[in-house]
Amino acid sequence: MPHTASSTDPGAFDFARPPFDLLTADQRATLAGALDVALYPRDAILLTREEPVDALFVVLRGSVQERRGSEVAAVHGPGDRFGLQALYGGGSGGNGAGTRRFIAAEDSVCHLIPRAALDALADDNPAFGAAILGDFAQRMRDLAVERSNREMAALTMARIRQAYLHPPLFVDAAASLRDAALAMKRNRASSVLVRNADGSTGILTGTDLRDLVVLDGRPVTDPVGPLARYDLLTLDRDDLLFNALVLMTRHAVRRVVVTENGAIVGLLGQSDLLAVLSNHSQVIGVQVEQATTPDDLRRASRSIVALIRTLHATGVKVAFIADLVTELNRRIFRKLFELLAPPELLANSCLIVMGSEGRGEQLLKTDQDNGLILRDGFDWPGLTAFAADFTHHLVTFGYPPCPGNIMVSNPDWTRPLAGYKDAIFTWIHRPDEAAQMNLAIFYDAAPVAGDASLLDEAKGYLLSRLQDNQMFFTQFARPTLSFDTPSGLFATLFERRRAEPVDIKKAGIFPIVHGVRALALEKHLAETNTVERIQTLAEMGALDRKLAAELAEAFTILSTIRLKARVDAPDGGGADGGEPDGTGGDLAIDNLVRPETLGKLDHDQFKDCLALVKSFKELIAHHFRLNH
Amino acid sequence: MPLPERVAIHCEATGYDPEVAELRQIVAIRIRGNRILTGSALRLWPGCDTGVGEAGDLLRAFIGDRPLVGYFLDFSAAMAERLIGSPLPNERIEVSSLYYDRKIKAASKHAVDLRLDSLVRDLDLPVRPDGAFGVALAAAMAWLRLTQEGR
Repeated sequence: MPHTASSTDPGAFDFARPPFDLLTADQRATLAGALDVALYPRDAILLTREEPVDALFVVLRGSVQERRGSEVAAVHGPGDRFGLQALYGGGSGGNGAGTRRFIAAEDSVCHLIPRAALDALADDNPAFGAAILGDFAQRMRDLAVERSNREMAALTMARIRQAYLHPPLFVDAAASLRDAALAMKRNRASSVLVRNADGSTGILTGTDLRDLVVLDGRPVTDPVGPLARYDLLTLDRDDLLFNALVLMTRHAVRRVVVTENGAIVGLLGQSDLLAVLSNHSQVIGVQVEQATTPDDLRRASRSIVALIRTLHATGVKVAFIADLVTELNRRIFRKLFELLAPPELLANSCLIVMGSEGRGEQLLKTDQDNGLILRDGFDWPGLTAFAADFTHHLVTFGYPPCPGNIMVSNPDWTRPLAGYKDAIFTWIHRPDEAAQMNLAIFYDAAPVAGDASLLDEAKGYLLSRLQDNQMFFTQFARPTLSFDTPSGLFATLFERRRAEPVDIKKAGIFPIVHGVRALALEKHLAETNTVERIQTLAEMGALDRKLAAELAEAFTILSTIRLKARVDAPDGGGADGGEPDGTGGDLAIDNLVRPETLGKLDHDQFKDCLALVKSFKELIAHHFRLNH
Repeated sequence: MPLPERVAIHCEATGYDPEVAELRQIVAIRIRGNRILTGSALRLWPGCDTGVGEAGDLLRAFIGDRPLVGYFLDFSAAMAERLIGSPLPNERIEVSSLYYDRKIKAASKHAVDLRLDSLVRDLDLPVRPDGAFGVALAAAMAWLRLTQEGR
């Protein structure tokens, strides 16, 4: 074989390059004999959709650009290989391969390893096979991350105006179901808007029609007016597409109504949003919805960290990230609960999430804080095993166990409503540190799956027990002052402390969350989200409006800085979106912020925020008489 | 539509007179589009590892009606005809004359160096033009480089 193993042959295949160095001398000879060679002039297209890929490309001379659309996604130089995705990914015609092209950046020469030869070698030499395919898996992950980055960038910039809107299709309230169906068919629409004489507008979708006529057996002559739904989700045409996504995700709907100057100008469909952006978060949502085993869910759950990173990297506001992540987390919890729980448990219990998850302020996967309220009198022998299983699965999904053991697997947090009421009674009347914390996080609880009325009743009981117990509130609010907040008022002190890291959670976020929580509890607010609580308190006059606005802003800024600190943490960096072993991909939890590492803008904001937190703490101390 | 194919061939013989030289080795490599199918090249040592008659049949089948590409192709083709036992009517493409045509356009005062080593160096082809296989591969590469778009 004259063109093979000689070191002076410029056309020789480079076997020193991993993973080819794993091949034995015989295997190298086999591979060398099976190689084809291809020469490409500059700008030639190497791999196209039309051409079936039957070989792995290894660059010998020159360089090859991998392009997606008009962007250069990668450049492959001598020794680099490509084409595996098309080879093993079933990629031809699929989403990824469709837009990918390989183009010679200069006159180039490639070795082509035919797939049959590659397969035979992989069979022959398992280490080599693993290296080739492992490399392929990594490459796929990189591509996925890259793709979501690009899509997210587009997503955060794009406004609804840029997406295709279905023109609004109106029918009168007096029109019959049949008329509505005809109108949809004629206009190839999946819904109609129903206009009432009083000016209100409702929506009737194809699914509604099916349910009304086929399932409920309504006559097709019934007027649509009373049957349409009037809880329209609307957004302005200049809103971000991302907001539409959040709205659709939160309400699990497939379309939103788009208005301009208050008038309806069209409908934005989920599929249009997807078509424009084919974005990551929806993909996770769909993965969750379609999961049939906990393993499916685990995969979806693992993608969330990558999503957060992307969203953050592309400058999406923290409040949006929190909204989306909260929604996805809850969906995962709900789906897991539904997968594991038998129907009778679903009907007779309420799965709740507490703490930051309940407040909807989860930016990353943090500890589990969850519980299960059972209907009084309901008993099911499999409960203990179920609870342990549920918690265990969440741990494998990357939600670390709660250090305080506030989890479904703990019998204290999986108990009948009456048991919860007893606990609440104890928390209020025999407050110690643990009781205080339990009460605080329970007040933040939100229902995730099962019968939400169970949580309503428990919370109703909580509020009814409080009365105007000044002593209690003084105790409850006190932790607001637990941690020192370095204040910008004492500039010299602050400057000296600048070198020391500040625990942003203790110094900034917790005082706001807890102070607001105490005020909200005092006013018996039903809201669980901190910003919503602040807004409601302001509306009630319980909080000065200007202070409320500043406080909400400070809370957002501090949350942003905190997320930034975590995402940028060195051990949390890198493109490790979801390692198969289940340990990578999570972001390290680090609440320490080093002021000197903040940019000037962040640093100034940070200082202002801490000063505000300081004065808010004084307000809380005064309000709840904590200094007396 | 399948990509057009050609076959690069080269012979190694005991001399340069096709009437008397004895064939040692003949190599034929198909070229499909930009790809040189070296992995499925035909390498024959007639009368050594393969009977002469059998080698002729294999070569004829391998070439079919594809145009032939080579360096000093007339010699190789004549040797191939002798082996097959009948004339080869296939189109013939001599890479040295393609190369000459291109160099002469560059209006150089120097004579064109048509030696294969020089040609390979000038076209920067990653091949060592030794032996029947090396020369056939070099011819295939040279043909691609000289005929590809923009040349």
